Amino acid sequence: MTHVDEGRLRRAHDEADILNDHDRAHLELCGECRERMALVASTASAAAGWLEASPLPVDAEAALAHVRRTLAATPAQSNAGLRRRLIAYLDRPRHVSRPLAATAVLAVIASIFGLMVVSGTAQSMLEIFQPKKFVAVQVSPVSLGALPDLSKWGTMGVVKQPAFGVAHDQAAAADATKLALLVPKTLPRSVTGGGTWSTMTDGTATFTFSKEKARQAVAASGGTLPAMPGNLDGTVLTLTAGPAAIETFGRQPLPSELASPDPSNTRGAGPFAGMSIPQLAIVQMKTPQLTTSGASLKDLEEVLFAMPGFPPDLAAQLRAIDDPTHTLPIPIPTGRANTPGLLVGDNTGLGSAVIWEKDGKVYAVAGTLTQDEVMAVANSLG
Amino acid sequence: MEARPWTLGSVPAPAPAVIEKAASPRVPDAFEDLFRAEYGRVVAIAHRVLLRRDEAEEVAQDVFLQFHQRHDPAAGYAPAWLYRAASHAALNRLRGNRRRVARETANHDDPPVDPAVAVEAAERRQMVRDAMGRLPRKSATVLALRYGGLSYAETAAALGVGIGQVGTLLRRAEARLKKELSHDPR
Repeated sequence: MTHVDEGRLRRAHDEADILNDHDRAHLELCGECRERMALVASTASAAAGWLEASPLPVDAEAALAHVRRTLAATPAQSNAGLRRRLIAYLDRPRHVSRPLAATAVLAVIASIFGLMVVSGTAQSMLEIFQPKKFVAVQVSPVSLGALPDLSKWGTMGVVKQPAFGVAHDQAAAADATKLALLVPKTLPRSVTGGGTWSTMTDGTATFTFSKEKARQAVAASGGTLPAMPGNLDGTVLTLTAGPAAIETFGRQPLPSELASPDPSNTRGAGPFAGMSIPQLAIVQMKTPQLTTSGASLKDLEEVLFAMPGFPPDLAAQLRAIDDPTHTLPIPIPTGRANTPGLLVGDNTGLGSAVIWEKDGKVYAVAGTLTQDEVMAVANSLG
Repeated sequence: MEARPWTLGSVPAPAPAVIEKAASPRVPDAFEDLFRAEYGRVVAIAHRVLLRRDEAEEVAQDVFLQFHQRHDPAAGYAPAWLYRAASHAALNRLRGNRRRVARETANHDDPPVDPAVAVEAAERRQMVRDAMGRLPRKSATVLALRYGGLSYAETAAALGVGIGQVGTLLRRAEARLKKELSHDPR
């Protein structure tokens, strides 16, 4: 006889529907579980009283006015924009998966090049993409804003949803991902605290091109569908990504802490201590792959480049890639990259990242560090 | 096995146009919408830890300011981030300012009542605050989130755990809170 666990009993105190027929039948027969449920309910009721869990009316408009005044009085920070975007990226809740087509650039790159996967079942599929090299392509956010949303050119599907989790240590992360995980031998002095491991199991997604949907999408924006290869309609791109593990270190000091240090808000004890605001993140994942059931990579490229509004300079950069089957273009806003390469960073500590592939795994090291520090961490992995 | 990057490049500092745009103190509409939608819940979460409305509102406004400086208000994770930040910031305030708080016996939330009753209520609040401050951070956080009015799904999202774990975490946290309060000599 399996007793109902206390977590379910506790939730049932708030949401009685959570108990299934088996749980209910068990509770009818098991006096021990009924006693535990009564104790759980009693403790929960007491806690509600201690914590004064009653509605608390607030004046949001007055509070917003106060916040507006504070913002207006706050001096602008020279690098607030980039820092905010970088920190926001690193600070994303770990259990939230990155949307495939959040922006036009992701829709374009992710649909064609970034949709990297291999189908475990479709033996007839042709593998068209597996990243072995990485190259920066400079893109203008303005020109990309005019691009159509490629996700409307067909149907997205999830064959296998990846599962996200947290692991206690390297061994647990390796066990969850079945990957031989590396750890850094050295860390920059500014990085504090031990590593925290998050994991993702493998996932598979598909994108099925539809000529009719593409025609409708282009027509809706007032354009005309470019000529498409005959085999593109119905072509299924299958992307398999993961498993993957990410180890994060330290926390990013907040702008307010940098501006006015408070002795009670030192690192590790600040208002956001314990939150996932890493200074350094190390990603290790099985090299993702992309397969197609019909159109070739060249076919896909030509359709992409012929799209109304596709930046000619970006098309030229992508055409110039020698080995497109094994090269992942990484979009970098114009003015941020002067040398195509896989290290993106600066020497002020604003943020740097490095990405590479070795022995069937993709590695990335990123953080609010200088490029020298990021490279030192990357080279110490073992 | 030692993995080595095979090539590298470099990039210059961000373009001035980006800096200028980002430095504007204007509050975007999306941020105002987010503020109006979530302010009450963020205050409620901080209040479960601090048990003082004025302090809870200060913490909530600080959390929104920090979010504005660092994040896109339209980000899907915004509510979960705010909830968790409110709990952590309130706990840190509780722990960092314990001496100051200990001198305060009255509570601005109390309606005018018999002074003896008011003192008793203030002492009880202080006892609960101290107990929350002694709990493991995760336990105190799940209590703040759940008793702050979040659903099990919202609590799970804010904690970054599966929804099935919330009941277990909550049960343990409540038991720990009860134990802390039963050991308090006051």
